[in-house]
Amino acid sequence: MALDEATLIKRLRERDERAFRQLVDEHQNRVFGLLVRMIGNASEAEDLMQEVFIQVFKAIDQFRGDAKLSTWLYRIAANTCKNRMKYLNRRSYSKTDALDPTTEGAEVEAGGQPLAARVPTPDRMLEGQQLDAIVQEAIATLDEDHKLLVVLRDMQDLSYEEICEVTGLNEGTVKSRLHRARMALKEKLAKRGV
Amino acid sequence: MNDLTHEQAQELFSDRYDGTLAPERDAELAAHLSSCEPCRREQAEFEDAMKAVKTASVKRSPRAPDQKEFTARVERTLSARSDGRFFGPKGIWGTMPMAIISLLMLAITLAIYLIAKRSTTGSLKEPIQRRDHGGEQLPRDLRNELPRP
Ligand SMILES: [Zn+2]
Repeated sequence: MALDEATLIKRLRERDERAFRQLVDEHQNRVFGLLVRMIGNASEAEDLMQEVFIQVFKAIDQFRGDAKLSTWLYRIAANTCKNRMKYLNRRSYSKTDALDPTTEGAEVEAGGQPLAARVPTPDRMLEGQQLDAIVQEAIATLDEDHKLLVVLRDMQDLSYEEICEVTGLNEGTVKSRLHRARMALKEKLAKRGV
Repeated sequence: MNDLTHEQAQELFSDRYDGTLAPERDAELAAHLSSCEPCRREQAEFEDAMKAVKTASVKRSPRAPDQKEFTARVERTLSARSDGRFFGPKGIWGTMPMAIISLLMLAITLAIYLIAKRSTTGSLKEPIQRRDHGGEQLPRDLRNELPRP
């Protein structure tokens, strides 16, 4: 039986292995969604996700409990991602193999429709895939701070309050930066014919 | 009502998209858009872009790793990095819940007690007299009743 959040945190602090397993099972899809959209590469995102959960296991004592556990996890994921991107940028990394739309579709995002309801008909598939690829490409070229805000808000559906907790920014800053990010994304998409 | 500049109007696109624009500001934006073709085009592009992002975020399912495989992978890494202190190989006691272990211990203790009580050699029963060579051994209570010489 799944533990409620308070019990889960208590058990995690005791380094309970079953609690940790529950945490990984419950949150990996959403953490992966954030990482793969930020980093643009599935195997890189998976490696990073492993580091995120290991860090959570080690640092759970530092979780103060004034935010949701998922938000804290996102915060660690965002920071891990930032550090990784800095490192990759130094190595001029630019692969985006993960988001090849022909290889996707195995997972259902939290809150998304069941897979069967989302499978496009063959004649619409190409159009949808092209659009997805264009959106991902445009997002990939945003500034990192802009990209994080667009991914958190417009792709992962976090509330402004949660985004403030993840980023450590106040709501006014989040809103104005997100607006600039969206406008920049609009320009990029318009240039690509969206 | 003050007329908005193009910049002011476009600053309101996100709030309108999020549904957090106050009604009077929304009316000001609507008034500006009705009379400004460039901002109307910007607004349309903004809405199209957000729709595309939303569609991509719902339809696109990033190629997530198999859930169980990934969890097992993290556990193996944690085990290796902690020299088996966490998620290491466990004997039977490590995999059994504490409640079951306690019950098992209680049952074993009870079994030992019962066996000892039934045993003919156990310390919980009177000891049996040894047979002497060639002599008929009498039970202790009977022997006590015999008249003394
Ligand atoms: Zn205008």
